[in-house]
Amino acid sequence: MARVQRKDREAFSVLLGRHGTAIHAFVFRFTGNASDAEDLTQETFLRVWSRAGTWEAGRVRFTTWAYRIARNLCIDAWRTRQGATADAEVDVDELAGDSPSNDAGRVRRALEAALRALPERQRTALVLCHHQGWSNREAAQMLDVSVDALESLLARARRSLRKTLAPYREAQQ
Amino acid sequence: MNDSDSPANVTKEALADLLDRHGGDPERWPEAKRAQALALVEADAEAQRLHAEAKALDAALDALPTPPMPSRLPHRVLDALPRDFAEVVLDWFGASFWRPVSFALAPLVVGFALGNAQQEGTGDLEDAVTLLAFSEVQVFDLAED
Repeated sequence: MARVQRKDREAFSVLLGRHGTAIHAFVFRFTGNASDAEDLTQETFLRVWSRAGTWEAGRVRFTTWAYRIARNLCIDAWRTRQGATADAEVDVDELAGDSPSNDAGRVRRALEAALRALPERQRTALVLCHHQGWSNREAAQMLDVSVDALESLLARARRSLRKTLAPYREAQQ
Repeated sequence: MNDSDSPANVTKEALADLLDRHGGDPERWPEAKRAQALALVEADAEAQRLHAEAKALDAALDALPTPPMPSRLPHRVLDALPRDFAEVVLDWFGASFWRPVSFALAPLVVGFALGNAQQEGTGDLEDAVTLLAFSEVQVFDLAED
């Protein structure tokens, strides 16, 4: 990162290779839209490049800093696109490659919709801890909250998603 | 430290809270509570149901599809990086053999052209000065009037 701060393109390319996939996955899980995920991942890394000078080693981990940039961009995009979720549903169906009429497809669509409907901080907490594999402490630092507050966000998110899945579980039993 | 993390006996309520906070994977549970929580799950049907629900949610979340990062994206990002003046100049020079050659020869051509033009201009000036030097100069004596 020190080399990126000195505008070293080769070092930036390495950084992109190391963190690109994870940040892209985070952004996709946040937006639910492949096209937005690509654009927002690009914008995230362009900001990493242009604001590299503001990152202070030892004060905050690079990943925490970069994910904060990605998250802020996602929030902005989310506000702009709020209500326009049709594209995202199409993307998810295409990715899974199965018919939305089967049970797994219906559960998946319901869960995707419920995930998108979660308040932003709950969704971010869940995506970081579950999908990105961050510890609760790391996610708390990224969201700038206490570990207890982070776990409270996770608990509310999981309870809400379990409610969504309950009818499908009952139907299976 | 919250209630679910405290090293007290794990009740069903505490287990439910632990599952909400940490999910269904025991590897992610606080170490201080893990053994007790697992013992409860093994011994109690309601605890088993809670754990099964938590694991089902984890599995459903894991099953959500995530597209791989498009292979073109890193190139797109690198191409979109803003370029500073030095990079633009270096790229311009590197684009072909004739660019640095023509750039090196430019001062020579300009110098030659300027020198030539100046020489012609100096000749005219010298002629004018010579004519002025040898022409008759009329001096008006104001006192005679």
